Amino acid sequence: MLEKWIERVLFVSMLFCALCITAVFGFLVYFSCPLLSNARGLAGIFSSVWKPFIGEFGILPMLAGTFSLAFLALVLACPLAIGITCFIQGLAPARPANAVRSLVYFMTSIPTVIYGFVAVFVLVPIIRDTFNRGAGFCLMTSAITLSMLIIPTMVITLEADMRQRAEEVRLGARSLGLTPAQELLWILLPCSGRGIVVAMVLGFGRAVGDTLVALMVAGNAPVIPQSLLDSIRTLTAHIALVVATDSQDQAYYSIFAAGLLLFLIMALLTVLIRTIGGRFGQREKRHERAS
Amino acid sequence: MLHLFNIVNLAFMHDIVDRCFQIDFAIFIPDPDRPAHIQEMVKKNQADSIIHSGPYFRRSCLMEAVARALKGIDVSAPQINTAAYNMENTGRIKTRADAFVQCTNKQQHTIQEGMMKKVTFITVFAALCAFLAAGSIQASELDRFIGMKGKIDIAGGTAHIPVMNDAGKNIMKFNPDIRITVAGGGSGVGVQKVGEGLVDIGNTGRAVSEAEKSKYGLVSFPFAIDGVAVVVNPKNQVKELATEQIQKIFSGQVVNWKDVGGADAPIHLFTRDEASGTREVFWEKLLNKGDVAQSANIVASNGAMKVAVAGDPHAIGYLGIGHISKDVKAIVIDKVEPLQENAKSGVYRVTRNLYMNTKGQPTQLQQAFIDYILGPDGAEICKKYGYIPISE
Repeated sequence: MLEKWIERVLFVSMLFCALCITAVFGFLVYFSCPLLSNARGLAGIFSSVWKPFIGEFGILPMLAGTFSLAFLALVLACPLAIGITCFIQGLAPARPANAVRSLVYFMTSIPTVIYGFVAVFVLVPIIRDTFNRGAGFCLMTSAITLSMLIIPTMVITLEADMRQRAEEVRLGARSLGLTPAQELLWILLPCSGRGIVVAMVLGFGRAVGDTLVALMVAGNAPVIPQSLLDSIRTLTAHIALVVATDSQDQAYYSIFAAGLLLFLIMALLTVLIRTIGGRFGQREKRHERAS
Repeated sequence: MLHLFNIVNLAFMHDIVDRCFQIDFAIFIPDPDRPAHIQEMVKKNQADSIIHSGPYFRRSCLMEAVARALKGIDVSAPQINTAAYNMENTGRIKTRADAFVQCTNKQQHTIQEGMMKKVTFITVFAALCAFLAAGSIQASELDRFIGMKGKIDIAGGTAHIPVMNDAGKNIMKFNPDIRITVAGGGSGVGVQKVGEGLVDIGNTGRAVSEAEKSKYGLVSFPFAIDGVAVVVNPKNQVKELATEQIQKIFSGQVVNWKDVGGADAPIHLFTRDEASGTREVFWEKLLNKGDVAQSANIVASNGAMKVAVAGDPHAIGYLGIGHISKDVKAIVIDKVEPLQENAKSGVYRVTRNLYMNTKGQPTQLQQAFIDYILGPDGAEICKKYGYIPISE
């Protein structure tokens, strides 16, 4: 009886959540209708010129900005995250490993605005003076800052995955006489392909979704990035910047299109994670059966 | 015998009691909702009278609280009127206490002797403490809020925030029954939020458009003039520029400081977001609605602009004149210095009005707030933050 009720409550909660998300999607589509419904509007949105004061509302530069920033941040964060995880998971003695682990957990609780703030005062001048091109508010600066932000997410995901695997292989590895470093390098790491991919996708999602770092340090110029030192604008920063404009203005509708794009990107990433999980899961099952 | 209750500020209370020997009991009531406390103390100590004091005593909410407390207890309750008690420049706690005691001593002579016989209570209200902490308040301007209750939510233009905050603080200190919240968001958010009824007053750094006015039925109240100045880093040698040069710099035609009389260094452009009223006035009045280079960095507030320009020796941007400080250097444009005086006289033409907007005619409380901003107090606050009050 009780079980049935729990089931029902959970079902209703699930329904509610699903409904909310569908509603968000529905509203986004509804609000971006004025732009998406006519061909001119649609072409206008998917153009590379954002000059709202002369009626150009292209958000392609922001889309390009979002992807280049997220990819770059991922490229920077990935080796670091894998390195840190290996360090925690076997290369380091217990004490330093725990210290690093606590640090990583602590990093997750630092508000984004602090990363942005520190970057503005420390990293921006360094980049500006080192490369002597542009004002320092650029793709590279924001990617470095953002990588700091996504590393903890990636490390925690990856470590959880690795730790679980470590339990399974420890006895075998020990009996073969492998040192922890050898075990990590030859067994754990090759086994953790799925964990790494999932961590990367999660990190990428976090990087795409982050607003404040991009808003504070990326420069926000609505141009398609040509170099690492170009000022860029992401979709999220675009929404933050434009949401305060005259709400009767056409520029205002472009943020719904931007929101819709972000929503779709995130949905896609989620599906990707699910698929990866499923595919690897099946492969592992096959392995088990074969053995 | 000496009892002190609910002392909010111990040092201050000691000071008062030390100087006022005829006081046997003193009660601090930090919270007007605790009349039971007064009642209890009156009964317990068989008080003959209660003397109320405190500059805020005129406030109806506190009067009512005390009146409720005294119902059923047969004691007289004379008042010491300390409205004349001006805290301006009284400085530290001790001098404040002196001023307070002086004031009460003078008044006590006028109170009938019989009431002073046994025990005297002084009820000093929390508001007094808040008052002491804050310094001066022009009572006359705030009088319009006496007996009022309610909430005013304000959002919109970032240039307005310091003015609104100061006014709100003064009013809430005077009458805690009024709550005033101030949020930013930009001029567009101001219009949108007040139009949708999410806030009571929406601030804009530009006149609301006809479309906005007709859609939401907004009523506008201009209260100050703000000038926008072009700023560079203090290290920059360039001191003055012609309008045309500025237009060329911002459109990206001039990209090196040496072309406008500066060092051989690239120009780093900083502009404001689409929603900014500061950007709008700069773009309309100085750039003549001309192009701004697409590659210009965009910052989202006056504060962020200041940080960006102050930290970059080759930067150029623009700020509300009220936000200029020693961190940045304001550029002389066409031989006119960007000073508020020049903005006021019309010599400096990159200016705009700051507006408050309500949906339909304002309510009584909203009207009181708007009158306060438009009045002499509001004008003082505007000046403090570098704006020119429109009333002058």
